[in-house]
Amino acid sequence: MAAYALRRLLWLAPALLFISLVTFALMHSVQGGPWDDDRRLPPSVTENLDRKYGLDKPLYAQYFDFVTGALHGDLGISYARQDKPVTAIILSGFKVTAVLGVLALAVAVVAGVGLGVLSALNRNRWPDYAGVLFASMGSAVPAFVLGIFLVYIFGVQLHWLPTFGWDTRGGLLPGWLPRWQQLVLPVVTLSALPAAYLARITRASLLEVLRQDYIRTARSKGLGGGSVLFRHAMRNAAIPIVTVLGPVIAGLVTGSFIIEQLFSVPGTGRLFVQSVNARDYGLIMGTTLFYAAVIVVVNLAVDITYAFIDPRIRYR
Amino acid sequence: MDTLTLSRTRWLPFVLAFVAMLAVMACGGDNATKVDKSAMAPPDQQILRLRLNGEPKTIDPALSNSLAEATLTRPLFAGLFSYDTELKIIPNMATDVPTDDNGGISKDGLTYTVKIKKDAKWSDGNPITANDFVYSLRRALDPKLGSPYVSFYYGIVGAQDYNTAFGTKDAPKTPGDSELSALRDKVGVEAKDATTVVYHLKQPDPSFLNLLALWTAYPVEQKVVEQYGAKWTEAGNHVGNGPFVLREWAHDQRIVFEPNPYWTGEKPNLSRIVISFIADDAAAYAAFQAGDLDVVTVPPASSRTIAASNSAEFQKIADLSTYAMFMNNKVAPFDNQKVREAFALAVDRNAYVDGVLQGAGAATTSWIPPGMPGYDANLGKQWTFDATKAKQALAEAGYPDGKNFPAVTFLAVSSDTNRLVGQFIEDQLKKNLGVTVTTEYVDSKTFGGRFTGNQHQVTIQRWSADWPYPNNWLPDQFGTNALNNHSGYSSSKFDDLVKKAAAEVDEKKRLDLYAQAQKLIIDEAVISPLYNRQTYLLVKPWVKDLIATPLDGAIKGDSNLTKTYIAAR
Repeated sequence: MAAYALRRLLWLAPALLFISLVTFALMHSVQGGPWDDDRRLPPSVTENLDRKYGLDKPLYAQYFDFVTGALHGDLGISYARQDKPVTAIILSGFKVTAVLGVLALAVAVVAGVGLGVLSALNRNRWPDYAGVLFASMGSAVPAFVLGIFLVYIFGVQLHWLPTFGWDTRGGLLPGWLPRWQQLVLPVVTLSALPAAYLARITRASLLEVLRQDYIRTARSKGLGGGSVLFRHAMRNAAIPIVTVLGPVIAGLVTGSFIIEQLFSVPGTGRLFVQSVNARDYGLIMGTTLFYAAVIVVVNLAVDITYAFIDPRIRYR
Repeated sequence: MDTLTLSRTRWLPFVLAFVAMLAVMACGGDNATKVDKSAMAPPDQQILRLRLNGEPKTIDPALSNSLAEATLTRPLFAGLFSYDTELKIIPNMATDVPTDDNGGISKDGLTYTVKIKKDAKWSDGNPITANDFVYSLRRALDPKLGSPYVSFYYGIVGAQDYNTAFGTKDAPKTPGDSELSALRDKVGVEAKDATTVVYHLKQPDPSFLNLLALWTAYPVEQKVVEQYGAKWTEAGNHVGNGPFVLREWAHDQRIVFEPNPYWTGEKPNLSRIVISFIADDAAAYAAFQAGDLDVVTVPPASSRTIAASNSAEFQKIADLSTYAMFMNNKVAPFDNQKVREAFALAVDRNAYVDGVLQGAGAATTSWIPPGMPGYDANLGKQWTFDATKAKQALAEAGYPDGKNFPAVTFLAVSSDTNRLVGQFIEDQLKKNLGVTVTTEYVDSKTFGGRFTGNQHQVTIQRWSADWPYPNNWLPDQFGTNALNNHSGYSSSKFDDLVKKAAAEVDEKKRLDLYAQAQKLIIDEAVISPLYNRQTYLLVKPWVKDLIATPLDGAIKGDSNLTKTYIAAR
């Protein structure tokens, strides 16, 4: 098991190197560079800027510089953000995104799995219909529509919650969590889609399991409903849920562009889109590699979790 | 999880309708409150809450070039000059405006002598001297700094030599530190004494004082810049000389200004300005409605609804920008003047303003915008929308009823508003000329690269004034091979006119030469001006004396924030 995990982690290095090369090549092959705006800067000015940021060197030399820097933990600086180090920008954003993502994940798992179980146990009765309705709505309504709707109801009309912001000074946990009022809307909006998804998967998977012979056996042995559900049914029904949790977690912790844009949350989700739009080369490379690493690690964590849930799965 | 981004356009009509609904609902609310103008809220309530649509690239004046950056540097720094609401140059750090008569401008127009206010101080209490202005301009010209707007100052003796010390891509140079400092010392700006700074120009420049009012020439304190390097603009490190100081900069969230205790000009009424970075227009609008913001730009889709609501919160602000159809005169079919004429005649500008802009603009056929010298309301009247004349022009060009007209691509930045623009233009040209135009939507940097590289056929672009004088609107945009000439226009007659104008010392004659040059480009339908932009603002009734000028940046009223106050509620 440990050897397996280690091997997977070792693969991360060549994978990241490959991804960095592809990203670098793509980034430099698209039209438009960092100094291209609707108003043209004189060549003398853009050449000074190129020299300042090392863009006057040949591409292979730039890539080599990047890799050398990255190996020393230096991902370069961002042209569009006061020349700040890319690592510092990503880390400060990730602190926000991760906190938001973990909270949204908790809400999504509790609400999604809860609703799914409720639906499955009450198949074709009203709790089931309510659950299915929620699951369909949750996956059909885009986050920016749901978000602005919630802002309008709870911010504009009721004045219960602030309309934007993520101010961690003097919040629930200073430096980490803002006031709860600022948390509610982004967390709820962000968790709606994964909750709906989890509810659907849980319902389907649990229904499947409940039909199995061993459940009938357990019931006929006289086991209570709770025991059957949690000790026998859920354990097997959990495998598809854990499988989809992988991408869900990866999506949540890398941040959502829409949520962060809508609620002005200073996370990493916006960085990727903004950096590509600005052709902010350092930040593009940094965010891409960061995303890649997060996704690999999360998927590994999911694979390891399988082994704990299902004794049939063994890694070598 | 973010595959949702892709479906944004599909949901657009719904979101627009929803925003419009919010707008209608909003009209019943706050505007009933009437505030007594004389009653000012107590100091702890003198807080103005504004919005920018994102984290700025910088607040270092020498590195700024966008409207957002310009807007943030104005409260924090003060240049030698600024503008009044009529766009007349007024002294700011200077004691008075140099003229020929007061000896501030030498007879040959090559030397400008500016006296600095004696009591002027930095926000750390240190005195501001002429040396600070000398240092700041030379710093902006430092080739290693990479100041984007610095080429405007190449008219100063030695400025270009220093800024281009490393040569060009094709002919690079490798000057040593001593060579660089020698070039820096040769830049024609000097401190004659502690309060007198002198600028030496290569040739007379009627707009030179405008350059000293532009942010690139704002002073920065050498000690602070050298101590903190790129971090000198962070809160805690930053020192400025404007009416406000940087109190807090929570990156990607907000920037907070408070009055500068060492400011010797008019004392600000506000005790705090909080500028939140909110990227989403609909979110910002909701924040305004909820009372979390005091001022907001009206989202384009709601412009008409809000303008029609007669809300007391509504303000309409014109700025110095003109949007025009830029046709590439060098490529077919726009190398044919008759085709350009047909296109100029075929677009119904009023319908554009009404439909695409929801009223937020003023149709024009003229290039230099109203509110500055050189504006000519009657220019280009021959290109007023007329479908019959348009068809006729196209027939004369050799394409009767659009027959055999080549495929034309209309280039546009991909955005919600531009989808409407693209559809409108396609529709107009189809209907009025029988011509099929296809819109290509690209991201802004691709657009920038294509447009400024003159790899476009036709697009709509704007020019916004850096300073209110025609020399910011003609030579650089239409001169042969000029930097921002994206029509590909080349005319020795035009080049002669703007060259003569630049050398002309008589103001009236100079403006007349610029007028002739402007008439040429309009008469030859080099471009087709469409409209002058207007910004629709909503301002809470308790915000008083938010005084906008047409040169303001992303935040309207940015140059007069000392006057703004919050009325008692």
